[in-house]
Amino acid sequence: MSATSATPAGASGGRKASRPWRSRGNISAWTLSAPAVLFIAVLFVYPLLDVVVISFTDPTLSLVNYREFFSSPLYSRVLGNTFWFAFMVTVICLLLGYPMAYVVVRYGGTLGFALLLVVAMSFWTSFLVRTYSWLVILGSKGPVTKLLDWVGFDPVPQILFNSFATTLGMVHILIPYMIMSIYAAMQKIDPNHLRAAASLGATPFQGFRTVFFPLSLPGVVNGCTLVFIICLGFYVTPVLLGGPRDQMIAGLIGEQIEELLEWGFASAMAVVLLATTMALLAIYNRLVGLDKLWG
Amino acid sequence: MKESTKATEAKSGGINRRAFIGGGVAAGAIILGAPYIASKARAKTKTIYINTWGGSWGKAEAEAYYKPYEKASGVSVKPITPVSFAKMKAQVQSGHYEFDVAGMGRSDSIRGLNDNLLEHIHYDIIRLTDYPPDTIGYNGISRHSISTNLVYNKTKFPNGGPQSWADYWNVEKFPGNRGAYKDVARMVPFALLADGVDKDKLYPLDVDRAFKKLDELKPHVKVWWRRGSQSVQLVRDGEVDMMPMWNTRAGVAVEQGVPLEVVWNQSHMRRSNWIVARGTPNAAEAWRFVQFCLKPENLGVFCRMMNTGPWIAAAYEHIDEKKARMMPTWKDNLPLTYQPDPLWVGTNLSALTKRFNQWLAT
Repeated sequence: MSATSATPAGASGGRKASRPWRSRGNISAWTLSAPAVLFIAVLFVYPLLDVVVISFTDPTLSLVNYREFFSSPLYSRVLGNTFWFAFMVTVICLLLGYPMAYVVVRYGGTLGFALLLVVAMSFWTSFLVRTYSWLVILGSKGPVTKLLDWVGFDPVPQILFNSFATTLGMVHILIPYMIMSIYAAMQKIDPNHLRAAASLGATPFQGFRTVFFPLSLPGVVNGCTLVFIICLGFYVTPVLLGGPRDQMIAGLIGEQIEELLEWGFASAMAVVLLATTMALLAIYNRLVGLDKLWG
Repeated sequence: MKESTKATEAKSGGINRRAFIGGGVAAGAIILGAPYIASKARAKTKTIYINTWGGSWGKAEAEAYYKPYEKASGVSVKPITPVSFAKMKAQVQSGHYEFDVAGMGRSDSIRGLNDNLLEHIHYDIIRLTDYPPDTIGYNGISRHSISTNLVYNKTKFPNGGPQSWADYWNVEKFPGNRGAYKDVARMVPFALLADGVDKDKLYPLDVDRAFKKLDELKPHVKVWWRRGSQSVQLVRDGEVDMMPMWNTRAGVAVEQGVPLEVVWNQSHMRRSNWIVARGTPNAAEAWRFVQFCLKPENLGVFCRMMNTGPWIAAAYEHIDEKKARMMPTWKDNLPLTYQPDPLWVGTNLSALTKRFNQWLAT
């Protein structure tokens, strides 16, 4: 995937160019990338391999950790729950974030600047602070409950400590990633493309659908991938805003590591999470084509 | 190099490129060499490192323990936050020590001993005869206790609220929003107490019976809390009318003006031990520090600031009675509390946690 995108000339250049490392320019490319490769190998690849090794060897060389994971309904359920939740949050972030980024890019000006500023400020505020604010806003003495009471709900439905509050909190925390990614892609789109479409008789909607939207897709893919992956590892917000069923796999992994010192089992859980994520990304790549859209 | 940098600076009358690059190289060398330099420095000017919490907890430890010890011994004391049981395991396994001393619950100590993480007590420093007999054990020595109590909102129950876990379970007699503690080591004994088990005959816990009782409670729980700060928020905002809560955090809430009544009957007492990381080169100094911290005048200062109950009775001479009443080891409260069996909890916690998580998720 990355090899093809790294050598765009190779696609048209035939045999010679398909062995790119022979040429001098690429040798220096190797040398230049060596520190980065070393950095990634030492700080990411090695620890990850270590996690895989621990999952098979702690406490003894066996599959016992994986057997425990798959024999209990709890872990598969929580894993499935985590992925479903990450998917929901990503979709909602996309549905809310895309129009917002569109408004900022297409209409710009003071409104666009103000919107971007709000997004950036929320991005810079600690997620713990933002999570605790939701406790106040949605709480039984908060404004939302008061409003519902005023409207005439009796009894006022509980909006805190359930999946609704968790989803709301997570969308709020992650939506800046989505907006920023889409905004970056949209800004690169040359407005002349839309003028050209209009001059050829396209209605504004047709112009959007056939020109603007496809060109903004790389940002969409970027944003969705970012939000989805970050969401998979998040558990503090669900703990604070959610109910007992909103358990995340990352929370269970943390509990095993910090409180129970069962590193073998925790590693096995982490490996299953990683493998599932990779598998899903592979399917996603097959259907959507990550590399093409990223170009 | 410093000389040459100075020379070029003098010549050109400012920072030129060479000096800039030289500075960069020096900075790089410092960054790369930092761990080495730090370990050298550590060996020379004696410093011991304490694994502890930040915030008000860390401030109280600095006031009660670190500053007086630095003054008395000349050894400098540095905190490493936050408390991490996992880091403890990692450093003993790797032989690379980030901290020497930590506070640890007694049942955690059992797991620490299983993994061989705890240095044995140096009895030449910690004199057995200086301490109450039940404070020493499991390679640690008790410093204080935090209890988990039933608390309720006084304005919600002006004519007296729930006084036991059976009352807390009784939703007809005591209607109101209930919070629960997402901690199996507390909720299981609470369920058994609510079901009529005597507090002195709790352990070994009858887990099946407890989960049956927990089933009754589950539909009435509005929120399960997990973090201390979260519990304070819940009572302050009036989200819940009654729930199990740490006596220390309940004290904070009361000081903030929350109308809380703290029930001492059937409260769960968690003992915190001082322990030393096995194999640390500073072991002897670490135990000297522990010995110093356990002196009544130092322990008393810490407990006064954090509402924890000291296990050295003389520490109460440094705590006024109003404060003392909020502590689980105070003579009026102690007989009402119960203590978990660390050996039973230590061996069963893993399986219990699994069952509890499963129970919560369904």
